[in-house]
Amino acid sequence: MEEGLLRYNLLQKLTYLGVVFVLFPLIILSGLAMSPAITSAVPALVEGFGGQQSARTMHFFLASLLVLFVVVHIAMVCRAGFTRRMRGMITGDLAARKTGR
Amino acid sequence: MSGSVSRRKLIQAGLAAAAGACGLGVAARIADRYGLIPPDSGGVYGMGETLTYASQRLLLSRHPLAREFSRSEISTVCPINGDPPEDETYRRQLAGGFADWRLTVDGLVDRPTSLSLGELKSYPSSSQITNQVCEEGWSFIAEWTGVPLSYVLDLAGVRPEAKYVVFFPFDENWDSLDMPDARHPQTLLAYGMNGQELSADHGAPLRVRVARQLGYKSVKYLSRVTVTDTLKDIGKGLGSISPEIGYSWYAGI
Repeated sequence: MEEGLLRYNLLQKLTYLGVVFVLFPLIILSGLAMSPAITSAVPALVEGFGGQQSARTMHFFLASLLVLFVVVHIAMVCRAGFTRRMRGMITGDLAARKTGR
Repeated sequence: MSGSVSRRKLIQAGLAAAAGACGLGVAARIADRYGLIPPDSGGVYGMGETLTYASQRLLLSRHPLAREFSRSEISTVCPINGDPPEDETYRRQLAGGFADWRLTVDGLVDRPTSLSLGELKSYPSSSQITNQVCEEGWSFIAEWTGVPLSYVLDLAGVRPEAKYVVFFPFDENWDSLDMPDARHPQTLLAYGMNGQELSADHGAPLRVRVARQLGYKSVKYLSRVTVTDTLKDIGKGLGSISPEIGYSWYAGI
C-alpha cells in the first residue's frame, strides 16, 4: 500500500476542516434562520444572519460550495482508486486485502 | 462456525428488534396523544413531516411570538400569488363591497354562528407588523389588522375534544391549523392591511394571518371556519390541500 493513500495533504485537511466545522454548521443555521417558527423561539438566529432574506442568500451560496466540494471530492476518490477507497470507506480498513480472507 | 450466526445472537437480535418495534409503537401512541403527529404523517415524506412537526411543537411549547417590526420597515412591494376566486358568489359579493358576506363558524362549538364583516370589526382588534414568508423564497413585511382567531373561537365556545380549526375559502385552497397555532395571540382573522381595507388581491374580505408559518397557511377569501377533532373526512384527509399537491401541512419549516 502506497504511503500517499493514507495521508492527506494540507489543502485536503483544510478543506475537510472547513466543510465539517464551517459549511455544515452554517448551512444548518442559515436553514433554521429561514423558519418563521424556529426564529420566533430563537430570534438571535435570524438576527445573526442579518435578516431572513440574507440568511436565504447565504444558504444558497453555502449549498453551492457544498456541491462543489462533493464534485471535487468524488473526482479525487475516483483518481485515487474508486474500488479501494469505497472498500476502505465501508470497512474502515484502507489497507483492505486484495484477495479477501 | 466461522462466518455463521450463532443461535444466541439470533435470539438476542430478534428480542432487540421486537423491543424496538414495541417501543416505537408506544412512542407513536404517546406522540399522537400529545398532538405531535401531523395529519400528513403517512407515506414516504410523512416521517420527515412528523419529525419536523413533533420537534417544533416541543421547541415552541411556550408559544413564543414572531418578531414584530416598526412601521418604517413595512415593505413597499407586497407580492401576491394567484388571482381572487372566479366563484360567482364571491364575485357578486366583491362587487357589492361584501355587504351581505358572512363568516360561518361551526363544527365542534357550543354556539355555531355566522358573523358579518361589521360584527367582526366591532370586536377588539389586534394589529401586528410581521414578516410574511413564501415557500418560493420571497417575503414582505406588512401590518395586519383583525380580530384574534381565539376571540372568535371563544365566542363560539370550542368544545374540549376539538383539535383543529379548518378554514374554507371561496376557492379550493382550504387549510387547517392545530389548536396551538389557532390559539396563538398573533393568529388573526385579518380584514385590514397596512392601514387600509384588505384588497381583493390580498384576500378580501377576510383572511387568516398565521405569523409563524409560511404564507400559504394564511388562507385568503374566507367563507367558513369549522372546528373539528379529526381531519380525516375533509378532502383526502391530509389536513389541507397543500399535502395533496406536494407541500407540507405544517409549514413552520
